[in-house]
Amino acid sequence: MNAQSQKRLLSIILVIIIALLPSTVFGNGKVEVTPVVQTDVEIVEPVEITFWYAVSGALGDVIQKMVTEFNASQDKITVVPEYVGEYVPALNKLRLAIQSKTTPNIAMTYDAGTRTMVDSNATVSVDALKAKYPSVKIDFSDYIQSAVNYYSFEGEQFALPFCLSSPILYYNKDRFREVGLDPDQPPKTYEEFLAAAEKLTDKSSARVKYGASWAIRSWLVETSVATQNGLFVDQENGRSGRATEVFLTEDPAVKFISMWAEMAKKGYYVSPGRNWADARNNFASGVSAMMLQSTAGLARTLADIGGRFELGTASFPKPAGSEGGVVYGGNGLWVMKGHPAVEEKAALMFIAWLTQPKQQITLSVNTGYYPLTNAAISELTESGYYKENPHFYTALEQALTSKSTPATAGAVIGVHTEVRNIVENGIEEIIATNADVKTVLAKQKAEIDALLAEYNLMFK
Amino acid sequence: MHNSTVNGKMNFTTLYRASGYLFLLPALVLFCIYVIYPAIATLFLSFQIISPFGDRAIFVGLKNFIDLYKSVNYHNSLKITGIFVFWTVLMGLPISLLISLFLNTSLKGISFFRTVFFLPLAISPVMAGVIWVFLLNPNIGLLNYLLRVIGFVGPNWRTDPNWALPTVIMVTIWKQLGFNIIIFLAGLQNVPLDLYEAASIDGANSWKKFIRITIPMISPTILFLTITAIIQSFESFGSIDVLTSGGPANATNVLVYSLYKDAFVNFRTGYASAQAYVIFIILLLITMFQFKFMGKKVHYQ
Repeated sequence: MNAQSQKRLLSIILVIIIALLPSTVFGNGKVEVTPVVQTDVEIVEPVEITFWYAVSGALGDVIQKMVTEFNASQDKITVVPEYVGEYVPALNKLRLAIQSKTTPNIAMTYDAGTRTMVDSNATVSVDALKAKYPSVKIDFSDYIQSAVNYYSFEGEQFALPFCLSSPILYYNKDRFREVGLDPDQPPKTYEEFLAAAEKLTDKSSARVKYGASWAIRSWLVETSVATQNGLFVDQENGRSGRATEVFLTEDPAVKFISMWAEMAKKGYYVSPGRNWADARNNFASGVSAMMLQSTAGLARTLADIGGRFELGTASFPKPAGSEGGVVYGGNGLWVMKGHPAVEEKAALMFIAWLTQPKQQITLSVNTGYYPLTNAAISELTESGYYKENPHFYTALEQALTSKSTPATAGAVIGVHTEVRNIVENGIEEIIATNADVKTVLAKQKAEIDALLAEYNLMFK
Repeated sequence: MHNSTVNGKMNFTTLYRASGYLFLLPALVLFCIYVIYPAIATLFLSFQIISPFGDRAIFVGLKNFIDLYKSVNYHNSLKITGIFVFWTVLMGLPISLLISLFLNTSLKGISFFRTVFFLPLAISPVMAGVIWVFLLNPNIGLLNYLLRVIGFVGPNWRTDPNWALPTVIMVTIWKQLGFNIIIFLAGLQNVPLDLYEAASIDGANSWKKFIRITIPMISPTILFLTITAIIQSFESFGSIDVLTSGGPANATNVLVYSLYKDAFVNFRTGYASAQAYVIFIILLLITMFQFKFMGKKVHYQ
């Protein structure tokens, strides 16, 4: 071949590749619907199911332990647990698995992924599973209803609420005594919180002691809004329809963020960045005396403090007279579509096992996550566990006294992760530049609303 | 020999030429699958908005690119990346050259130092980030401790928006030292010694020798390292992810990090694909510019 025809051949090859590509890349917008015959099945042969979880450290160990226990308790089902990275990488991996049809049977997804999971159409809801396999004894009537509501839409329960937590106020009782504050009267309102932070700040030496330090996370803003019975997004927090607007410039959010900004401006608060662990380090090492953090970090915090000072815990502060409650964070378990019926039933049976009080208790006492059934809570109360470990009761009390309203149901947004990122950018900007809170929040709101609009385009 | 066939049968020349393509074929196939195809597929993706799990896609033409053009955050990313690349290269290369000059001597034990300075290359960017996270901790980190000893209060290196970018620049320079030093060393050792001897005879001092001999003779190395340093800095991701995660308040949200967040955290595949193309075009322009203008100054032996 001469140079001319060589070039021609190469161009033809390239053109063919390019011409074929569109068919592989453009989605056809259709979702495959597998016809389902709704009959229960009998698990005759031992079946193996895969369980992807997204937590590590002590929490990962607890899950491994629980799975081993489940496998040992019966001989028909073997659950194969796999740690697939933290929440965001895990959701990524799941996304790719859905596209390549290599999903696990059960996947753990964090709270912000809830709407995404529902919209993905790639899961089988818990209610659907219950209907398909009526022989499996599973009952959510004893569950804390708000926990089930978080993972339900339009009356259908989609996932198992698994690790649920809310933020509480951690404080250093010894420091309280040192500055003349009553260690048994932790701050309840924003004013008290600010005043306490001022007293607890000590700049007399190079080793500054700050009143407070907590992670810059939107979840805390969402909680503060809920404690004031405010909605975070419209459409009843995204539950009666897809959210189109974020209420970042309304009173509840503005009040909390303004208090935060003032504490930072006056030097009573030091930012640890967005990392929960860094906030915990500041608190446990004595750099800060108060911290707003998830109850899920309770066991770890106690371990980090190591008895150096006395820990105090209290409800998340809220403005005087607020009538709201807290929202949930954490994760839920979803059963994925596209697996044989015996595997689906096995997954449901594993989930049913997890709802038992004993499992709830194991999870809760080793971490700080809530026990989610009344039976589990009663057992822990009667055994005196909460008397000996009052801190583990703080968040639970908060949750039990929260009324069930759309505000406390928690926001559900398809692009929740990105919304949180934008909120956090805004708070970082406010803290770093002392900019006007309302101006920055309005800017972030505009960005979020545009994002919501783009997401909703997909579903016209 | 110009006819490809003789009497209808292929002759030796054709077979010889064809065998060349055969040898190329495996590499060519892999190149098509892993480079060409993704590049073209990304282009198609950049014209769509795709749902997080990929089950829905709508065609939106140039909307993603227009959104990037209008996005204040993206302008910020462009600015941050420019500053980051500029300082990383402008400070990183001279520092590396200086260290290479030192390592080019034949003092006793020089090979120990060569190993030590080469080490940053041997660890992954993520590892480098993790090590520096510990060193830079404002309360218990080594750096602030040393500063306290000499009477300074070190800032919050990673969480202060004013210090985050300089911090990331420093760590990236440190990380790139190993590679730059090795290449500079090779370049320096290729400079013929008789040039220096001749200059000494003519009465040149060290500085003159450096400017008039060393720099011109290693100018191909300098060009090569400038290009690779620019491209590597543009693609910097691992250390930034560990150190600052693009923050605080987008202070270190370089182009690649913004792309990563949009693709793998926010699941906005279409928007991220558009960003990928912007990066591609920027790098293409930079490389073309460098070869055109700097190529003229380079002295090849």
